Amino acid sequence: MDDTMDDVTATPQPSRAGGLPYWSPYLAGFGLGLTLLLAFWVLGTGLGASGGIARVGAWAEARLCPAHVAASEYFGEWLTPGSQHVLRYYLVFMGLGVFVGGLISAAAARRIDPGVERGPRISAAGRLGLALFGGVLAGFASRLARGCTSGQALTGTAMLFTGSVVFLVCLFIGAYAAALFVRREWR
Amino acid sequence: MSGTLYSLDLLNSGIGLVLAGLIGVLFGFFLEQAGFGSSRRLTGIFYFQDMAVLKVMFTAVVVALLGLRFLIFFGWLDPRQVLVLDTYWGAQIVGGLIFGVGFVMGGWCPGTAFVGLASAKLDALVFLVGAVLGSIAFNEVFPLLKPLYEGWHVPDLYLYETLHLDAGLLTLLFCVVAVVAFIVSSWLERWFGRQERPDRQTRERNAAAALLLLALALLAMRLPEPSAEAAPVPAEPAVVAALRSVPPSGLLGEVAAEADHIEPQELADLLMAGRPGLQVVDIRPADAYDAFHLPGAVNLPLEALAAESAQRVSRSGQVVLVSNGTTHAAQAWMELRRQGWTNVRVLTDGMLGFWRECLTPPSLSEVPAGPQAAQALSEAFRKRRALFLAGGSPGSGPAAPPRPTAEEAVAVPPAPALAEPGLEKHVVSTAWLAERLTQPGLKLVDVRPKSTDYTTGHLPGALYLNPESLRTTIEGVPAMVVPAVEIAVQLGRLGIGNGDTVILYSDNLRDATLVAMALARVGHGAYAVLHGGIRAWVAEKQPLSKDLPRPAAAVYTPVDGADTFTVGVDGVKAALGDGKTVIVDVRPADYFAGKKSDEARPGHIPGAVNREFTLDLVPGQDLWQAADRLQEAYAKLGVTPDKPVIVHCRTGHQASQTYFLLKHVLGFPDVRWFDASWSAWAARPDLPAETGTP
Repeated sequence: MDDTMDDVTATPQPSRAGGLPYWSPYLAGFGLGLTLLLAFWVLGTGLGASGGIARVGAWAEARLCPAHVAASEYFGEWLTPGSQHVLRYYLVFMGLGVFVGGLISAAAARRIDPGVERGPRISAAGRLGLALFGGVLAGFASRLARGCTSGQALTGTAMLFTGSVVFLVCLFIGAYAAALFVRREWR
Repeated sequence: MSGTLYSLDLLNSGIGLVLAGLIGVLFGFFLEQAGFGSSRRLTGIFYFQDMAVLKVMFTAVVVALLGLRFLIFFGWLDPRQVLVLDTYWGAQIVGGLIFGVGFVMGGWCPGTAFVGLASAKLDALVFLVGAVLGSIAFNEVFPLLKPLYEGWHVPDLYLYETLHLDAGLLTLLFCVVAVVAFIVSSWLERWFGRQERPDRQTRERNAAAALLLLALALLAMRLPEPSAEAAPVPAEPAVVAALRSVPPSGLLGEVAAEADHIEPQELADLLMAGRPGLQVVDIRPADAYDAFHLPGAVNLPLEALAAESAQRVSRSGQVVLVSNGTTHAAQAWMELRRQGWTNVRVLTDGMLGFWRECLTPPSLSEVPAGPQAAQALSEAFRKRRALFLAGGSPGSGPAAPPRPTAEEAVAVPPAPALAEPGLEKHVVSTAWLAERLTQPGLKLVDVRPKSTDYTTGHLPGALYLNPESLRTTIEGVPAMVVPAVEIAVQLGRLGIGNGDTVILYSDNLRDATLVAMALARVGHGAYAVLHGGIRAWVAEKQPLSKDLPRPAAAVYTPVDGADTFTVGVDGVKAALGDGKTVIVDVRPADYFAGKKSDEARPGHIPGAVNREFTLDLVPGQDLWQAADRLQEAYAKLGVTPDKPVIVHCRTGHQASQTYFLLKHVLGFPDVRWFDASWSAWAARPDLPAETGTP
């Protein structure tokens, strides 16, 4: 396997932050695919991101109203007395790892560039509002679908699970439809 | 091979958290190098200007897809030790659509937002805060969404099964589609994104990589399927062997160490505390279960476990498997884990151990105990005897804790399915059928209304009978089941004789029950509907076939006067005044109330009770609910076995399902079927009708 794409050179692409150019998407995808394989082999679960976020949600909500959350049907199961701390969950740590890995890569390529990324036709406040609302939708939908781009679209598709492929297809349908309405945000 | 952390249940142990974190670091590194720390780059794909998302994702998927096939082929990974993501059609379609909108609006997805945050993007932080809030919002509305979240569920479903393709072929197709998508993407980027064409050297290298990819995919095609389930479940799974490290205990002699075991003492304490969410599944044969079982335990013998666990064991809460010893329980444990249950434990030494350790008087036990310890032990013993054994010794010692009801001690799944009564009662299970598929004299009939459903895949050896071919206009009323002679002609043409055992299945129970009405009309002896229908069959990964059997025609002789159960308009009218007969209208409530109408008049027959036929089924499945629940639900409507009952709907189709339930499953002695139903009644202005809800 390792011989397949190792010799693909980086397509020189300008990085928007003025650091080093990004890798060729095929090379980055190859690395990502190997990481996914490693996750199957070692963890037996593949990759995931939204699961960790949901744990943070359960933890935060339990800080505010513990009795309500303990009695709730969805989060409540993670908070049963005697079970491990709600944040002692492998996807919480994977999320931390993603942050650290991103930080290492961005620092090495001099791409850490504080700011609000947006198209030329939208205010920063407008962009942040849409980011918040988009986050709410994505957080909600990933609970409903039992995973996000990582856990369903990437991991589940690589395993050829029907539901995961359906999720991926619907993700693109939803995104292309909505893209028509938020063009100002980006282009 | 020692197994994945998931299969060893070590994901959330210290080592699991560290390894997950390290894999996360790699994940984040490659995401960042792909440029996914930039939301504009991520969303470029939706305007065809920067197709990096597609290229990176597709590359990662084909690398992992091919890699998995090779890892499994070389025996480095046991596919049964990888988490299975079940298909939930509704939740994943709706979730995907909403997620897509959130992605393009927010500019991030959860994983890339962590990378964006690492690149100091404020919008990534805001997105993550939103995602946390979205998760909380989901928790708040979960009770409302539960039917969608849990409905349309197919466990362990692979795309090649859905598409009826060979797994290797689909893998190859995936790789071909990926290469085509890469070429089209680059073209789109040049057109919409004004990107320059890569230099010749890069193009040649990409082409070489693509060719190598396709060659590997061709090679992978010849490997066995990743979901290979042909391998029998080992009596002692590798995982269990790996964990066989618990030293023998002096008390119990040799303890067979189990992955995820629960000691009898601990289980006894949990049961006595009436802990919610605890489900005890007793996998011993039914007679052993009947003789003695733990309070609230569900009986699911090992043979039935694979087929019925999805219906009878809730996925939430903790499952404890109980057998006589541990070997069978270990098999059951593996089966449930493979089907996606995570919180499963095996009762160490099973019922025998439980009896020995918890229910044997301390004076008979081999444990040496001092006087104080002996006092405590005997008190605990008395309490346990009171709970677990009927006729324990009340009054001795301190008050025994109240015996928990089944509801308290065990989380009962929301709608348990009916335990199949068997051929005599005309309902058989998929497991029953699977054993007898090739038995001579067994005629399997597919009665799905769409013939293309049959031709694209049916149960092996199944004949096809369109249920609509058994209906016609009789005395002006459309969609009546045809007379016995015509039914006999059709059965004969299918090669079915009077002595055959006929098993009917569809993707909706009511089709099978409608054809069952026709069989009853000709006085057929042995027939049954397949509980769960083809959906359950497919979910269990039982084989399908596309062959069209060519039966030799037979002569079918209808039994005269067999139809004593069909009642016409006049019969119903006569029953209206008799003061005993209950009329059950099984149409949806809006039709019953007259808010909606497809017929000459809205409303219902005066005095009728309403119970929509779908309410009898386990939501999202083609299974009846447990008999006691249904009996109770009908009793509440005043529909009890001591009364004559008439069942109808709009055309007789849906009513056939309720008729079948009351007559055969619940055993009501006097049930009649008003085939002409509301269509005929509504068309007669002289007959009374009322609207509204009683």
